[in-house]
Amino acid sequence: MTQLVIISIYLLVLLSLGTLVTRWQRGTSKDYMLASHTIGPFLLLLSLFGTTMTAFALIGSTGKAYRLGIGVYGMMASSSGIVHSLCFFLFGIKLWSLGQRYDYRTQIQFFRDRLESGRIGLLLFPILVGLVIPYLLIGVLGSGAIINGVTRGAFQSAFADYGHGVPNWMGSGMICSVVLTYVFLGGMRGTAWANAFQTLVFITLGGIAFVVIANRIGGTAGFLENMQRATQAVQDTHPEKLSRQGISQLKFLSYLLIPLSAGMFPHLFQHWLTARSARSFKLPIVVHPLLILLVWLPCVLVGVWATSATLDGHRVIPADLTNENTVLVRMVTSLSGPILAGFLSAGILAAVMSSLDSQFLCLGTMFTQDIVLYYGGTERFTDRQIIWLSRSFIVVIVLVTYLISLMKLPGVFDLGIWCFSGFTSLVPLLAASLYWKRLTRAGAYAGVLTAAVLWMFLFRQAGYPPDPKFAVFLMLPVVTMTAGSAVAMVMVSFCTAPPSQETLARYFSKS
Amino acid sequence: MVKRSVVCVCAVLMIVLHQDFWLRDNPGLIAGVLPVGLAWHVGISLGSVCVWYLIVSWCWPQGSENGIEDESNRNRGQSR
Repeated sequence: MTQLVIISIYLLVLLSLGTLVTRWQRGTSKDYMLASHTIGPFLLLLSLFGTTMTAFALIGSTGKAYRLGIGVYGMMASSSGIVHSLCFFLFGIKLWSLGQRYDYRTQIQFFRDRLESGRIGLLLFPILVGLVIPYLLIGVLGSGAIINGVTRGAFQSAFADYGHGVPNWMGSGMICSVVLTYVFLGGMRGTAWANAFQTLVFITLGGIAFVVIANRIGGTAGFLENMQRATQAVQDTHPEKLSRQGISQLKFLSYLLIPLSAGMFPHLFQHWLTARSARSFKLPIVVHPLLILLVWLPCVLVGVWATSATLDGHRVIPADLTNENTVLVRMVTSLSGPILAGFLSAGILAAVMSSLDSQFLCLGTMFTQDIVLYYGGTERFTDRQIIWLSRSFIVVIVLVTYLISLMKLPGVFDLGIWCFSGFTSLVPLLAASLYWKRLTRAGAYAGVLTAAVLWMFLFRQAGYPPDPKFAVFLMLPVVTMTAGSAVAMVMVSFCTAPPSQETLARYFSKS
Repeated sequence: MVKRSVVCVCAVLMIVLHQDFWLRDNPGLIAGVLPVGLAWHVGISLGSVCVWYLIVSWCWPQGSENGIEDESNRNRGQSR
């Protein structure tokens, strides 16, 4: 029950912050969707980082380290440190500049304009929304599982089917309601501040959790000695987890493409546009790899320690564990007291919510801008009505996502890597749009269609729930999708007429 | 030009060093805590911070602040 009280207090604090931020709103749709381009370097750093760190990063990293060992850090963390900053540098700054110049609010507005094609939106819209929704579901389902995991046994006479803890559907509902409230009220400004606050919370609490868990496993007074004991236990019983033996080199190499997906995240695009100036990107570009280190290193070490950790002679994680995504919550609840477990759970939920909010806001913005305003006409609506349109769509999206989460679809967590792969396979289009004058409308269609067809074909081959060991030429399927998309786009572009001089002047002139 | 070349070499080097196939099967520990392979990638993360610092210092894109000067083009993005 203590954990539940602490989580509830945390959610109330977050709601208060979201409400407080509404005082600084300017009442325009641009402020609601892009915070009027006023976000400075520090807030941009925290909001970008909070948006890219999801349940997949925290819970998934610990679970994967439990199964595969320390190689997970190189596969997903140090690679993200290099590639995410590359995306901010190559795509973020340029898109910010173009967004300022032509008043873009969504990716599709940019692609329609750059490719001189309204219909490209009809192709991209369902693909982007379709890739974000499973990503959202991971967060919604993950938050329900976390709250249930840490409150088990809190209700002696109720919720027996859920281990006498808060039912998953109720936990997911709580999180959706809180996120919906502050996104609904605060828009992008509320989201950016909530993200920043939550990023600080999960980094701080993650550090505390790491120290507590290490001390509990080691059982001595010295922190360093406790870490040595925890690692020694792994070396004695599971030495293979301390190297990268179980991961093939080609697969490891192909994992470099997964963080490239950030370049095509529609919610990240929207965050880039909030920057006050291009210079605001400098801090996120430099410090992002350091923040990844601060979050992932403890998670990976805890996951590896979990393979061998014992408490009073018993394994903390049972040897027959089937769901590796529960490792972090189990370690936290078993090795810390109820108060700390409550705080740590709040920290994990903070990471989940700091992605959910941006995704909800982004989908609401896309429905408003790319469908209603594009086809209905901007002149038909006042600025105030546009804000309410966005809010209505956000409510609908949250409701639909929540209802889908109740369907208990199997294998949703395994979809994460497929979502990232789908986004990565569209990155050649983005890169070419920004840096290649010869890209044509037909080339863009060819690239997107090839990516979509390859994605569907390979997804079908991998079965459902997708086999995590599925590979093409010993590499992740993302390599085939991205290469296929790039080749189709380049070949068709060379065979078709180049874009108009007017368009080239708009996107490639120095000013 | 020299600075840009240095930065490009550093960036490519980071990606090559990231592959660390030479440490793939090494289960050794540093200070009894950090496995060698993990410590290497912590170094890659810290190295990335340094390389990105050099990149934003020496290779910052010229004219990136020019976004807001072309007022006449505003709203065109939504008109297509």
